Amino acid sequence: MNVWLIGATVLLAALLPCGVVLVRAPILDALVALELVTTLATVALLLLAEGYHRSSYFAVPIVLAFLNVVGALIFVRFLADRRL
Amino acid sequence: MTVRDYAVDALIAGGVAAELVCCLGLLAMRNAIDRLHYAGAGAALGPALIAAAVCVREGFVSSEGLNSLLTALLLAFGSAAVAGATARLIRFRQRGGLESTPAERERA
Repeated sequence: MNVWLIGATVLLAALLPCGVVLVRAPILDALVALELVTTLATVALLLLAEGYHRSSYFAVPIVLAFLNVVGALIFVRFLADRRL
Repeated sequence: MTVRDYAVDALIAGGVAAELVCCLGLLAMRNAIDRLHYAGAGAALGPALIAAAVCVREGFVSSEGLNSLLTALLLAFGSAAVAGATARLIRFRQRGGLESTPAERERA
């Protein structure tokens, strides 16, 4: 276990407080928490890729970072039309 | 351990600590706009420090370094765009429109 994997583990544990906000807070707060969750997952994948010394694994956080933008904008678009 | 190893460890610790602070801030704040500030900071500061750690270890002109830099840039700029759209949505849902209120115009 190296420092990269320890950092990734800490970040995965940090998903818990965001999950609390996702489950308990109003819908707009949950959307903000979802954006931070995706960021945390992306950084954790970056740390895992470096921790395992696999250069091919670096494609996964790049794709997730791109999908973060697309997914969040889709949520924003649909929440604008609905009264939740 | 070399100086480079210490620098990598410090950058990783800084990046992870920045993300933890943003998580705690998200949990502690009480409204969506305040929480949005922490989500934006989490997408800018932490990934940049982690990408810097990868670049220090692997070198800037390497597959790993360039990929990590691209990820950090995507997160930073993409999150800024998403934060703007989310802030507009929050404003629209809370006030019913994007126009400033007379009280806000008076303050400005």
